[in-house]
Amino acid sequence: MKIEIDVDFEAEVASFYQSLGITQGPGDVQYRLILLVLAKNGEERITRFSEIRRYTDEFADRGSIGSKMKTVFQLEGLVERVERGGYRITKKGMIAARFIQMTSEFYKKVKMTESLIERIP
Amino acid sequence: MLGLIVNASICASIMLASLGFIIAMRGSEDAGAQSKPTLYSFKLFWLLVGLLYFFEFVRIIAVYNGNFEIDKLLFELSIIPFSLMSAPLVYFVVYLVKGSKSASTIFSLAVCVFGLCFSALVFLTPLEPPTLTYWSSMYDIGDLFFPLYISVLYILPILLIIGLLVVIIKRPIPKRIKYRITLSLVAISLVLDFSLVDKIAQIPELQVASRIFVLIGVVFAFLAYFPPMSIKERLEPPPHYDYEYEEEIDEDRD
Repeated sequence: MKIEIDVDFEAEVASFYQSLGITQGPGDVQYRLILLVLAKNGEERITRFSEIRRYTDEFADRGSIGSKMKTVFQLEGLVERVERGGYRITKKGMIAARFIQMTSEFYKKVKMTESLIERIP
Repeated sequence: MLGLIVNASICASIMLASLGFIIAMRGSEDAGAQSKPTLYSFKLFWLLVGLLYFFEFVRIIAVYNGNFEIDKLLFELSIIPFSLMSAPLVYFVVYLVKGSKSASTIFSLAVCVFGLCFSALVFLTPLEPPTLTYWSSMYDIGDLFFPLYISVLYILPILLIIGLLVVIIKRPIPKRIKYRITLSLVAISLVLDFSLVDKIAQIPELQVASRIFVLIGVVFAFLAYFPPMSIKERLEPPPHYDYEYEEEIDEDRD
């Protein structure tokens, strides 16, 4: 499965979920981007920390991303650290990434419905 | 001859109801810019319905006065709004679903050109003299052109309406809007179906019955936008109370 990462779109989706009171997971743009970058490389390839930062620099500094990698992703077993600055997504992480993609689909559906309602005379 | 008067009254009722509906909807023009194209196409559809039954009304009056030349001319003229009715409908559904003005314009223009070709074909073909009945004067053009009409100008909008209904039913849309659009689509399909039956029918009673159903369709369109109070109360959300920042009372605490 090919994953395209659009940073602006992910930020838009995250702010939508934040507006629903969901500030963690789907509503956290850092979480979304980190998971998607990891899932893009898949279970076979190692994802470099610098690669993750290419997407997240707009929203967070190096420290908070590093801390998130430790306190959320490694702690919950979504990634495993294979070398210094290198991570590999686990099966559990792939499930989380799929969930994040589903939240994007849901967001698109909601937006489509909203625009359809706006067009009803 | 009383049958002719009854038939003419039904046609006049349809015409007045459709035009009245368009006038009653004038207030909706303040709605968002996104809904304006659908609103205009929706109004255009009802205007064509009104025009179709205006021609039918005058035609029956002409028959009543024994003026068969005008009857024939008005029958041919009534084919124009009849065959163009699908064009605003296609625009309405395509724009509602896709939200693209260009795509909906292209589709409706194609249907419009087809409708005009169909009208030209009817004009250019010499018509058989009509059969005069108690209810109306009947022209038989069914065998020649209606397979052509049905294939594009009927099947296409009906399929689009069914598709839109499925989309609307599946989506989590507020009840009030769901009611309005569903009933409007039911009204449109009633009008489209029975105006076709009206033109095809060779049994005068069937023609009158189909006109009654067209009238019911227009009434449905009215009810979709101006529901009676009993329905309106069910569709509106319950009144809002400002409890937001009040302290919750814990009823279990003793």
